[in-house]
Amino acid sequence: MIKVYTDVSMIMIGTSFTGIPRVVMELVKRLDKRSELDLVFIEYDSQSDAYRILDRNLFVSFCTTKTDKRNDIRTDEFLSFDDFEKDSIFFDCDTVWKTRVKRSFLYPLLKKKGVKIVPFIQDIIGIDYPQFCDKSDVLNFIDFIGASFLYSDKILVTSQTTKNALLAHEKNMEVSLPEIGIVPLGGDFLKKNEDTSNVSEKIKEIASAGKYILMVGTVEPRKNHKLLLECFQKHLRGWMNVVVAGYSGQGMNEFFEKLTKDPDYGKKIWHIDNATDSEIDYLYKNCFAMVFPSYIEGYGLPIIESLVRDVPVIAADNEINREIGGERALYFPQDNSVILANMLFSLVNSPKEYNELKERIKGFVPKTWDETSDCVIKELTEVNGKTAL
Amino acid sequence: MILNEREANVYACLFSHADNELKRNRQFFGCEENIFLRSLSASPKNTDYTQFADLQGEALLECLFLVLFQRLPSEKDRKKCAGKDAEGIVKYVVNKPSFSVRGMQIDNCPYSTKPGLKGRIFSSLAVGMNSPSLRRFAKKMPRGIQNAIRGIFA
Repeated sequence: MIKVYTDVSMIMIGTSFTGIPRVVMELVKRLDKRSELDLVFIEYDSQSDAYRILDRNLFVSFCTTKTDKRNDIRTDEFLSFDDFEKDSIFFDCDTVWKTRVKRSFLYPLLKKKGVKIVPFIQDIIGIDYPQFCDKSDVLNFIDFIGASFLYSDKILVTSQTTKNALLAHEKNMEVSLPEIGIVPLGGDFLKKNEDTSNVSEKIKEIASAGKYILMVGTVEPRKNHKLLLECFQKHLRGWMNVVVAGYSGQGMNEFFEKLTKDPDYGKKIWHIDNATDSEIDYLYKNCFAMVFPSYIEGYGLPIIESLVRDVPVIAADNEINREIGGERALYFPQDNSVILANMLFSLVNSPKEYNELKERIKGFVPKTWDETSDCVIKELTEVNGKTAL
Repeated sequence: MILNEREANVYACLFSHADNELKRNRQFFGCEENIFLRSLSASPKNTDYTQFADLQGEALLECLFLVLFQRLPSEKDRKKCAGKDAEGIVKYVVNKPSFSVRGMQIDNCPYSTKPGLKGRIFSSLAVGMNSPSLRRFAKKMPRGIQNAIRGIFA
């Protein structure tokens, strides 16, 4: 069995589980069932300046239920920075750059102990597109990525786009990156026969108020919700509604002010920031199309989620969206609300064109989370077979 | 810990790239590359002041914030520390509730690093900081109250 440590400090204090935490929780549920791994979940404790070991079964259960009894998960066992065993694997897959323990501090210590380090990097948006991020977060992220470049035994990423982004940085440095493995994310979130009795009347009313385009994802600058609002206000008003489903992120005060002051807010354009999984599913299934104007994504799970549900996707034309959406999606030039509106107008007025688009989606089979975890096991097993760098 | 040349090169390259992207978008980090590099490799609990003993003013403030709180000082922090000497800046930093709540220590410092009354009061709220249910409750508050709470614990 391979001993694998995973720092889940951020999940232990998190309040929403979208994006990276969601990926970690899906992985944890599956990796736990695998006999190849001896998983140890840890959380940094500042009072003892050590990692607290978490109850594995309770943490895995929390990843499924998300019911808040996280204090019960914390044991009284601690692991100091010196206690990590030689040849164990430190699998860093959560938003670890936000934790107290800088990787520029931790990774050299682990390296000296002969621990193998495998960070799971879902994107490097913080470095390549820092204008969309909190500056302090960017500096912490540089700490994490720099340490990953310097000390990892292998780096795992979720897309060719992210691998290319990492390799582009290698050219400017005096170090060679360790090997980079690609682990595509699963898309089988869909539960069969989703129970619509869990869907609120408000959501049902929104879905039945008229044709609507849907955007799913945290409302934050890099997702470019302002383009959707601009498109609605200049072109779509009166013939296409807009539903924005996602938690409210930082740096969007100006957007929310414009949105909530629109005379059609709450009638033709909505923001829903606390939809349940059932409600998101309902919104997907009843929308005309999912529109994805993001400037940059780590992966773009909403594209997968849409295609799985036979929902047409119209995405901004960039490398990651093309990698994930492939031939099944339509693409519009970044930031061009006119072309986006024209595409929607064309689809609304031509049922033939719309049906052809839906035909392109049929038969889409996403990678499953089981395949994702198989891939992770394969990568960790390979690292385990090699001497620590 | 002091970075070796290889380490410094990697972090400097990444910082420089991000810095150039920010400048292209008319934004700024709020600290210089050398300050960022000096904040790296810091222990999560114990900080050795001798690594920053040569810094003064905003440079010292930025470095201490990055090391102790993993963030840059806010405009309010910078205004409050404008004109302060090193001792004044250290006193300001150790009086931040975050310093006590996180149980930080600054070693080899020629100035007092004992938190003031405010810090000692807030250190007893350390449990609340990590309580997901309290954090979830706080997130439901109006934005202004959320910012005020962040300000208290920052």
